[in-house]
Amino acid sequence: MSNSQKRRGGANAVAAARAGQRSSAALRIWIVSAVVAIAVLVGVVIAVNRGVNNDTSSAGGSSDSGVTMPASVLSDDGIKLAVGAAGVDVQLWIDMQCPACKAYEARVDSALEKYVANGTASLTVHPIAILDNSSSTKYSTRAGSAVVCAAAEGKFWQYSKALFENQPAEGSAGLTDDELVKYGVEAGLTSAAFKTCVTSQAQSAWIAASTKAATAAGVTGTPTIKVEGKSLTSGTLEELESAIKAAAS
Amino acid sequence: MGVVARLALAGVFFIAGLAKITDLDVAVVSVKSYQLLPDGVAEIVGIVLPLLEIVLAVLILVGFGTRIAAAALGLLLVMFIIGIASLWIRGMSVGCGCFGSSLLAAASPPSYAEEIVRDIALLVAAGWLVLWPVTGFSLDSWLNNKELAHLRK
Repeated sequence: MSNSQKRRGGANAVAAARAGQRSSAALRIWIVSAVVAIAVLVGVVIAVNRGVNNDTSSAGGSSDSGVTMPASVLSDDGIKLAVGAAGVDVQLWIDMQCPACKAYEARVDSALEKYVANGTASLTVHPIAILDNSSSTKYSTRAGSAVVCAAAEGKFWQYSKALFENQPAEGSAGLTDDELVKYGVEAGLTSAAFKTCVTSQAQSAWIAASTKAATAAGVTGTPTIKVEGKSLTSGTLEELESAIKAAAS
Repeated sequence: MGVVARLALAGVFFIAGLAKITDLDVAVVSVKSYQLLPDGVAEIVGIVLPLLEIVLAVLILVGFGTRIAAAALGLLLVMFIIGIASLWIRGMSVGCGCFGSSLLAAASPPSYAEEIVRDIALLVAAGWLVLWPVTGFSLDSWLNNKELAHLRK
């Protein structure tokens, strides 16, 4: 506000007040805009920095850190990945169509690989199909059946990872049978038996039973992960690591 | 009414922003899961959004620059409504991530109608503040009064 405005006084007070209010309102708009612009700028800087960090960590090889997962063993009670017998019991329920499962797996896969490979944890994965309505071809069941086919040949981990990496969008037609076979071949599943198993959806009954058992066990969404029977709730890597460490000690 | 609108908007956005900012990974994934934006853009939006929500919530709470802050929140709400409606139309079942919801809870299909109704209610509150921005217990009204008093001397 200028000094001349102040001095005018008297009859001009109301008009001056209006003008003053207007200029101070304009000032407030500028201040708010500046604050908002700073917030946006800070966010962009954080985003760029995180991008750089992510790049370096993946270049360091998060999943290909030299750790090899043991061959998967298919049982009626899930797909087992374990070295030795006495590891911490980790149970994971996934739907191959579920984006959150893909995100969660990408976040924790190197930790799971580490703890399974060194015998600290015994992992049991339960593929289920609860999102068949999210594709026009019941992709949940088809892809679930395909990963069970791979599990029977010991290559569940590699194959399910490949399918997550190529996960189709929800509401799409999903990957075709040919594509499901192709990613299997890339993961080393070259047998004719695997191809037949995938294209005939030979394991869809297994998936249906797994889904039913999961529902009966109180699993309402995917991913669900339990360490020694206790559900994890926040979905962070730290949560999983500390739960496994606590159970192992 | 104006004060109630301010408190409601500030509370909702502050909590939502805080929940997201404490787990940025989830915030970024939930923006990406809408599959509306390219990954690079989604990454930036996922981080800028919670910051913006908190800053605007604080401005609305103290009542400083209420009109423009309410207009900005209204714009965000319109974007949210478009995002949720697009999920609904495309038959996608991602968690809306509205309150930085955990990845582990994201699978059961959320109620889109409920979320849109909630956002429309907030939009009405924001619209109210754009039309009548000067409300009680706000920095704006305090500043205005001070200026008037000053001028009348």
